[in-house]
Amino acid sequence: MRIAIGGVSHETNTFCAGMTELADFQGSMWELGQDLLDAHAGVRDDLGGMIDAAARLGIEVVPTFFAATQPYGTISREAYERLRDELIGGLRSTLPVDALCLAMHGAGVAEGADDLEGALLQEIRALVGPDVPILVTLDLHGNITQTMVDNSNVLLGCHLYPHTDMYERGIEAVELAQRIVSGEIRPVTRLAHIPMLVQAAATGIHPARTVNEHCAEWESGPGVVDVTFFHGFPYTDTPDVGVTVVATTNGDADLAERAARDVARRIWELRDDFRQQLPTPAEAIQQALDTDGCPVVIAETSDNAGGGAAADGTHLLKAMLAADLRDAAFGFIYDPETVEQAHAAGVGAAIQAFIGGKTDALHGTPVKATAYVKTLTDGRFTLQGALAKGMKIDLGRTARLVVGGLDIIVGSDRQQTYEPELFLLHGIDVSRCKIVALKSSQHFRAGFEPVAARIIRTDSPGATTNDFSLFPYQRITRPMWPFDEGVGIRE
Amino acid sequence: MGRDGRDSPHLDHKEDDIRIAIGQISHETNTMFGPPTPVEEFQRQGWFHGQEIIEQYERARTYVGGMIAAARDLGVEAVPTFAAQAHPSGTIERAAFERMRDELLSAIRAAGAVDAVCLALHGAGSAEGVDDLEGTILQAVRDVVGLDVPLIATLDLHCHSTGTMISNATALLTVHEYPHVDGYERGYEAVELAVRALKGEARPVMHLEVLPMTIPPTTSFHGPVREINELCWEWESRGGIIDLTFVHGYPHTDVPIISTSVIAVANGDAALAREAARDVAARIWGMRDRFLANLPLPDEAIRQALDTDGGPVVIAEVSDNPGGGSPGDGTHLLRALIDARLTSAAFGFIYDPETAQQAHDAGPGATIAARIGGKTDPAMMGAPVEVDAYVKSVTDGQFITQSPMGRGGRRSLGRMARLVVGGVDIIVGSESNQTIDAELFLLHGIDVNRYRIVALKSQNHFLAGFEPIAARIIRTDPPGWTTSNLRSFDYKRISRPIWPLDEVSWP
Repeated sequence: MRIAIGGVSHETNTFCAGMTELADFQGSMWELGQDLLDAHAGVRDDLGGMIDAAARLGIEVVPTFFAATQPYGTISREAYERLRDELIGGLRSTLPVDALCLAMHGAGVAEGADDLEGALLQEIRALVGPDVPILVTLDLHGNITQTMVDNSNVLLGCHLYPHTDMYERGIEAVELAQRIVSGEIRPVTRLAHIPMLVQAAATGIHPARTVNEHCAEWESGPGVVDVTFFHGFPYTDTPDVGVTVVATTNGDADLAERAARDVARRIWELRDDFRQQLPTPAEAIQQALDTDGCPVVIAETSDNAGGGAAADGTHLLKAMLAADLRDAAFGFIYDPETVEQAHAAGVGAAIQAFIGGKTDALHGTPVKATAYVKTLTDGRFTLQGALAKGMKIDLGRTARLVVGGLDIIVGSDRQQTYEPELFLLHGIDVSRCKIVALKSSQHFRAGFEPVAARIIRTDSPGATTNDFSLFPYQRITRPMWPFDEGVGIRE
Repeated sequence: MGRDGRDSPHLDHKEDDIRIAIGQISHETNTMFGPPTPVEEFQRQGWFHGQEIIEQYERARTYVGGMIAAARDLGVEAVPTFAAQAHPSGTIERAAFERMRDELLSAIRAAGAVDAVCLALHGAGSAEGVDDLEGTILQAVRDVVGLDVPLIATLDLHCHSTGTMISNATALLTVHEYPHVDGYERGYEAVELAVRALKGEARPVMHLEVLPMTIPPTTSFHGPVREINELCWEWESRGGIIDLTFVHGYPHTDVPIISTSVIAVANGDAALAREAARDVAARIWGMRDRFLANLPLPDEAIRQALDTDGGPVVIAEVSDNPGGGSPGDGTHLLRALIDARLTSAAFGFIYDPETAQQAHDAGPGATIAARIGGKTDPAMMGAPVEVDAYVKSVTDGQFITQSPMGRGGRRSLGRMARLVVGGVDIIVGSESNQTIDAELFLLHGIDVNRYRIVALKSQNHFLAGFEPIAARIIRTDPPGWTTSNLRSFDYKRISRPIWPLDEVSWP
């Protein structure tokens, strides 16, 4: 049996000032053929799972093309067309195959394609014809559309956020592909849409956990292949935005429909529980100081590069400096200029720095400080935690600065912080810090929950803020909760 | 030998009145290797007057830190005078010795009427023309303060005990442990004992028993030293013995006074002191064969490490221990690690300011054509290792000791760099220093628990920091200034016969 693997994965924040360009993909993940295998073998991600499952089952894996880059603005037409051509061309050259397993996201938006995944899947289905199973692993932050359902056989969204189960979904994709090809199952999928915008909700706690338990109950019943609660990605201004439930059964359309509707109803019932009340940076710091134990992790959810934010916001950093903390570390803030300045001055120097706040006014103005340069690194390390263990991170050159009792790590690439490994690279043992601050919405939980005395998420003005009223939505389908009155769901 | 106690006219001291001068001159001198040590080295590494001494040491787990803490707890005044120290190196220049002696004496004089003096000395200090630095200092201080003032010194157990020291000090308190995790406790005890002596509760008398033997640096955490220590503690528990210590001596120097010895401090009973000291000395002599070291060379040590289940396996290059006066830039073990093509090894660290500077200049992300180590004595310690090295990070070399031995102490090793050569992470530093805990590795982003092999330069002090986490500890002893193979040294001045270099019978 031969399975072609590949994909295009992007989470698009259409409110970002700039566009995501071809160069962004090429400079991030742009993998053809063997490169794809080399990059993902041994990594706990979706493609890594596909590769391992195929090896275990004795299935030949044909790597085609995979590209991804950091969440950012709308994908440019040039980039979209090139990505499409590489993926379609790559798949074409491998035919015939018995199945396709594709790694995508679900919230991709391009110039000329509001529904990136739907558009690509449409062309792929046209390419391979109706008989070749197409299975797609997706992020639960995908805005799933009927077009995607219509042009695939199985959609497998991860269930967890932090997405520590992408590897398992990759395994499942290959296992299901084999069962479909052998005739053992005949998947039927139904989708339920809820006009709801949901703030970043970790699945380890209520209400997302409660909904997942509900899905799991459905999945335990006979004939149900998968039921997934897609949170959707709210930082996107397109008609498809919203929460969806996708249910797949073995040949039973009615069962799939009932499952999807039932879970949708449950989510709707819990909608008020999805509203979060987050403290401001100053409040978060005070809560941390009032907490016994070390470390207390403060996550600046509103400046999450993992959702397209600039990662150079200064609201939390300023509050921490104002609080004159001891034994505190900030890891990290994006500012290649300051990194350059630190490298030029050298270890041991004191520099007059203007840190962060260079992208726009929303994220705060630069922090002016005299900073001691303690350590300079190459910014490269490998993830160790439950989320994508084995994945290589490259932040470009970095610097560890010291301002008073605060260690500040400055980096040269926009990324979120997943785990303590970043701090270790710079010589910081987070268990000795009273406060550890970082920029991430929820993914950081995978690496920090095992070590934190307490976790506090803080919200401030930023591209991934919880306060959706800051964004000028024009194209979302109305009425939409929580903006409008009288929103309801199809029963 | 002993010192007669005399009735003190100050028996009715009250805590409020008590003033205890504290000071330090501490150096472990290797007269065989390395250039003479000038005063500038002491001034650079540890040179403090008055209140500076309090600020520097009050929170550190060291001898002086213990003295300061005891004074505070007992409500007596610690009067800081002068403190100087440098890490082990060559013979102290005459001018440096005289300067330090004069600084200490004038500070003690300037302190006015003091009731006692507590000094943190080492025991293996030697200067040009002054083989017995500690005996000379103690005599000079005694001349200043007179016979009635309790003069108590703490000592490292790598000490050449002499009659001059015994006859001029009221009590000598030597650490029992190696690694010296009990330096703080000895300092604390010194002040406590001084106060007890002042109040008439104790009248220390000492006996020194010298053995014609010399031993390589041997840990007290287990093995023969632990057994001897337990015998000493048993004596101490019986009452009458204030302190009984196995003084290992220091073999990496060429002076007539090197020896292994036992110092007993009894409460008024000279005969008891003599009996206890001789009992312990006899036990040491009886088990002397157990102090002979038979350590593998680097290739063999690596083989043994790879045969061990689990990690990390710590390989200590004992023969190039800066903590014993060796420069710390020998390359025998480093070369063996690179040649073995290991995939998971960390070396922390090798002394090489040139390479550290080269790495800082090139910056992280660059690859440099490096010549690592081997610059001080390539003939004995190995030539520089010539490799292309990737610069992963560069640091300011500043960290705080976490080991129970000296926890809280600030270390500053100058510019440092983390290089990567194949599968080996190599830390390079600009100051010579032994590695005693994993802080150095952490500073450079290395979690030692993840490595198969962790290599370092130390003889025993690393045990306090690494024994709790190591799957196994292996010592390797290639040629070097602090080798445990004592027969390899060309001694010219030591007193012979001395075991194991000669056959000797004792007593």
